Amino acid sequence: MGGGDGTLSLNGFNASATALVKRWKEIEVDDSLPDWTWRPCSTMGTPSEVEGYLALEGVYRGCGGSQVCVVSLPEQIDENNDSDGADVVANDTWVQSSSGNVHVYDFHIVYSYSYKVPVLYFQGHRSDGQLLTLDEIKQGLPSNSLKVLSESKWTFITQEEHPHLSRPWFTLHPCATGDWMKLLLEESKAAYEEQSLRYLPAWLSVVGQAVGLKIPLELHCKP
Amino acid sequence: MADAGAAGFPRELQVQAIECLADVGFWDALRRHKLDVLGTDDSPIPITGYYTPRQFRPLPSFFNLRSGSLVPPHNAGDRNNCPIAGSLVNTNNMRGFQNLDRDQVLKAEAKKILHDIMSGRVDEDPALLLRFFVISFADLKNWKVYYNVAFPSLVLNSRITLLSLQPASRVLTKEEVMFLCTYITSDSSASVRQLKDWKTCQGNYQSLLFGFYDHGCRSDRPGGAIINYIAFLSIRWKIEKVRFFCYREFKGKPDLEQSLIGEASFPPPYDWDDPEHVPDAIGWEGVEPGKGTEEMKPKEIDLQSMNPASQDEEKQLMHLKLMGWRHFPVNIEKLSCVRVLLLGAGTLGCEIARLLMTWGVRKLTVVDNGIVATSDLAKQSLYIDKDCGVPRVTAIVPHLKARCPAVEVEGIQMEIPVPGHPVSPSKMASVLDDCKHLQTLVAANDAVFLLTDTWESRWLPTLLCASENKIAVTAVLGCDSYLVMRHGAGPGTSGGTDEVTAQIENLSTEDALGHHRLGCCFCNDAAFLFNPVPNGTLPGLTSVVSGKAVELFARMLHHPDEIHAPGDIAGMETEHQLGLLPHQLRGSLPKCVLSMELGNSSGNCTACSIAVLSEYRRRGLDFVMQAINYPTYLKDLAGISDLKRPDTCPKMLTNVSANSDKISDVRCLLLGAGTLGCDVARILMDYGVRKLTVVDSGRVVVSNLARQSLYTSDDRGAPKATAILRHLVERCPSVDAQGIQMEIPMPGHPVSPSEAASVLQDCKRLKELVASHDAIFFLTDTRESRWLPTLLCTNENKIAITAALGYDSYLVMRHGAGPGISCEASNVAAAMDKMSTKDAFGHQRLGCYFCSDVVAPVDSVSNRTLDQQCTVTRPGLASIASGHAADLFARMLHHPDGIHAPGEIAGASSGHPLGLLPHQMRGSLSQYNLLTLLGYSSSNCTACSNVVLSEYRRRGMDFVMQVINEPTYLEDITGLTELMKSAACSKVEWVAETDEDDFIEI
Repeated sequence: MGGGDGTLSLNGFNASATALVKRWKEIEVDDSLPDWTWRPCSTMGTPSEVEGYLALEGVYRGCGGSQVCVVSLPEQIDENNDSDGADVVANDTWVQSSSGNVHVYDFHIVYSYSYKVPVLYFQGHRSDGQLLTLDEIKQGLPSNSLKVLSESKWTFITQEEHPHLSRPWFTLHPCATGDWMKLLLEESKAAYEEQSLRYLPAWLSVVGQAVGLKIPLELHCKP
Repeated sequence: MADAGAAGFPRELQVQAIECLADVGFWDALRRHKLDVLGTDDSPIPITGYYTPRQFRPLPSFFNLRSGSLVPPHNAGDRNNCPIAGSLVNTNNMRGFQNLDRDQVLKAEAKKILHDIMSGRVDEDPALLLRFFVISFADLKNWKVYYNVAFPSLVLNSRITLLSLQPASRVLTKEEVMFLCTYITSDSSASVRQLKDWKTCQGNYQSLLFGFYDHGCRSDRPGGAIINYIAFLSIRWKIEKVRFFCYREFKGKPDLEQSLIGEASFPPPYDWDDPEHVPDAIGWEGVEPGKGTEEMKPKEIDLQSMNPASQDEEKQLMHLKLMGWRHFPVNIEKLSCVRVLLLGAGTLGCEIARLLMTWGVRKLTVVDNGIVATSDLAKQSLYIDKDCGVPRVTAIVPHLKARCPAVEVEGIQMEIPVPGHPVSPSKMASVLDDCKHLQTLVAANDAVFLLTDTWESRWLPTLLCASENKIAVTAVLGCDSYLVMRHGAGPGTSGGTDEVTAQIENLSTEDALGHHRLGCCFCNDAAFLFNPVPNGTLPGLTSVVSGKAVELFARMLHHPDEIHAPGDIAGMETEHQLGLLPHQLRGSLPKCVLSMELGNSSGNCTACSIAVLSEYRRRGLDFVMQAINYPTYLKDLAGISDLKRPDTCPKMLTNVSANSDKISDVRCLLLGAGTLGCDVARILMDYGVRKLTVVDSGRVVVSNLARQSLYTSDDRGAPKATAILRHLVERCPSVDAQGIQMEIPMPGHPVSPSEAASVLQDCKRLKELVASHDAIFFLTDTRESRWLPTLLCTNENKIAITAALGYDSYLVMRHGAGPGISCEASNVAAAMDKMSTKDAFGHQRLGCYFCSDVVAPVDSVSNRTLDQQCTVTRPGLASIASGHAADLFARMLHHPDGIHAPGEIAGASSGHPLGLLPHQMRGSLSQYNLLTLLGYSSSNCTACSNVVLSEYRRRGMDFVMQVINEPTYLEDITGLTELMKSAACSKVEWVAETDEDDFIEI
């Protein structure tokens, strides 16, 4: 259960995660955001019943920093298309949309046993598959995220091995999470159990800012 | 088509192209697949992509390639994961990728789609209309992938005209419709049927819509999938006017606001049904409309960020995997699990430990009792000056780790108890402890290398290995000759009983597989081989022996019978892919001979005979202690001569050191600082060479570390030419070494006008370098890089030594002297015209590396597959070749005629105290042979013939630059062109010599 010290137990994490997945579906979220899904960890091919993580994958983002990016398509409609020969190779029917500047992000929320708090792992890649570097990611963040990142001490991005995928992902370091979550939760007078259900939405509304993930306000308001 | 504006109808159909989003996991999976499964095979492989109707409003859906795309889909998929069959061609090199005819492959794919339409396969499986195609080049060496994706769309000789297009919500409210969908969706007011039901549906409904999942997001045009769909409807079902429905979703639910319904007309095309007809097609991703595929740029993916942790280890093991592409699948798993015990961490111990890592062995235990001494540094390849005074087992661990971080190595300081050397009662307990410790170590390891420098210290390990039935490999260095052998298996039991006592008494003379047991190193007394003078061994010998010992071990591990494998003899046919698996190898450097021997376990061997073994099994360490304390005990037990080394030692104590003044003044130029360069530099220092210049253009990368003996992890990214200097000085403070980072100009690698000045500079610099040195070693990785140095050496009459490696063969040769001057020409001009076919001593000139070639050296790299480009050589090969190269040089230097010395052939009696001085040595690891060859300079040679030389003397660097840009010029002036023409006329079949000897460092 969620403790008064800003930490979260494994059971609390799992319960809160389930609530988040459900709530996310109910509320109106940004058009370009997919759903959160629960991924059970599997050991030797059998999915674990208690251990898993939350995943929000395939979040598209233009380089400009907005979550939603309307890719501007070059107008390629050939006006004087009067070549009447049926033998012309109709290359111009096939209009390319240049979405080369689209970045795709994956976000995972993983429970940290050592800090007893959720940890955000994320990675971004270009549409051709190339993983983004931290600098490229920062370039794509909206200015208020950059401000959060540079001003607050609790949010610094490091690259660490994803605990379940054994590949390096970027992560927001969890060392101060307990402290600020304690402050955040103190305000609400809700019951213990209720508090742990609200833990993830509250937490996400804060860390989401740092990585440019727009979290709808309704997520942590009472339905 | 009067009005072709965006809003007006009818207008020509334009579609939104499908775009591919490839997960980095897919490329990583492809990289592994190429390395582990495909090898050199570059034929198309089936892959699966995933197609999705549009999900988010502002963006089209991407076509996905995932890490699982290389294996068939395990289920039928769902709306968000429609599996689509495609194929992928991964070329073997960049040039192959660039040269692929993109128009042609696209048409070939379109042809398949057309065929599927005509044969009716599409009726059953409409997903075939979306067939896609990927071309790629996975650059395994640099962890990059270059690729292009195509979604072929048929272009038939008829155009699709769009008659109307509007949001589905506007249409669907008005009338009841029926969809024919490739995948079923449901809608309350419509019934959805599969495409194949079309015939039965005809006439039953007022209105038919042909629906498809549309990835696109635009309201003014459908997604690209529609083109093949309409072509299908027209060709297969003769429908000329199609009402279509572009199904799009939003968050998993139908999005009728943005789905489109439209009508298109498509007059029937003609000619498409001719079986030979190849349809035109479009669909390469990234090709601008109206532009050709020539302007297409490959996408580039860098996989380095994918697995940084495991990457180093993968890079180090890559050359072993590449061996499997053409030659022999190395059992990397077995090698990485096998636990190897090295007894001795001296000259042999260092080299063998390093080579074992190169073979992928990752679990090492090293036992030694010595301390690193200053005099060892030149010989014991791993230690450096800081290690002096430190126990070897302590010093060796970090050096091994610095070359291969994944290796698990333990160093144990211990003296190996020796029989016949009574111990004082006070030391009795500690000696007994040592015996026990060794007993445990042998039992805990799978293979033991016996590398100590006394004969007697090998007795106890031999006994333990025979008793435990462990693989044991012995390497013995004499002053100029050596023995490498594997011990036979332990005895099997002859009775069927499993009682321990019975087992002891029933030891069989055969091993567990019923073969005759092979002997151990005590079975036939080889003690005489031991060098009585410490450090008196010929410097090149260690490398040669280590390479062979490790090779023997690796081969044994891959033999189905392992330790029980019978001994092979030279010339035997072997089915074993790695080649012969002999029992003993003996060889001598000065005699240039190598022989295989086979000896069975002797009945009165003091270490592995049944009498000794059963005594050991019965009495254990009591027996061992007795053998240690009573010099005659073993002799009595086995009934043989004294264990100790006979006092009469064969003496080849030659004047190696006598000429050390001369050798320390020789200025050596090493071209190449890779595997060969490192070893040769080290061995030359051991011979006493103190003036070294190293030329290399490369930088140290991870995969170099295990094989290029001098570099460590600290050097990563540093130019080899500078990194090597530090390591040479660490081993020999008095060495005067220089490093030059420079690319050697090569014929067949044309230079652009902008590069010409710097290449010319390099040519001149190389010329100065050759002129200012006495001996030049050719240790580079390509054939063509040896051409200019060969020419320069011939011109300056410098000693030139070539070492080149194939997969399991090597060539070491010295080039002949330059031509002498014929008659009495005194001035330079006359000398130029009157070059003799003989050298200055009047001997016939020996050949150079290029003398047996019938073509000029050209770019040999770009067209090769990765395993050809990389050093796919057996790990011990470079050590062996380096040892021979340095040794050949030393002998040449001591020969009274030096560079003019005639070539000798093995078996010929050599008057020279240092032994035979051959012209060429060719050896093969798989056959374990060594040939000495002699070849004279060819008058058609592209590098050392008089005609080339006089052209060079006349025109200088102009000539060199011309050759670099057009190597065939060499063929013209040397008469090779003529020769080939006449050969073609007379229908002689020229067999171009396969370029086995070249390699490139990874």
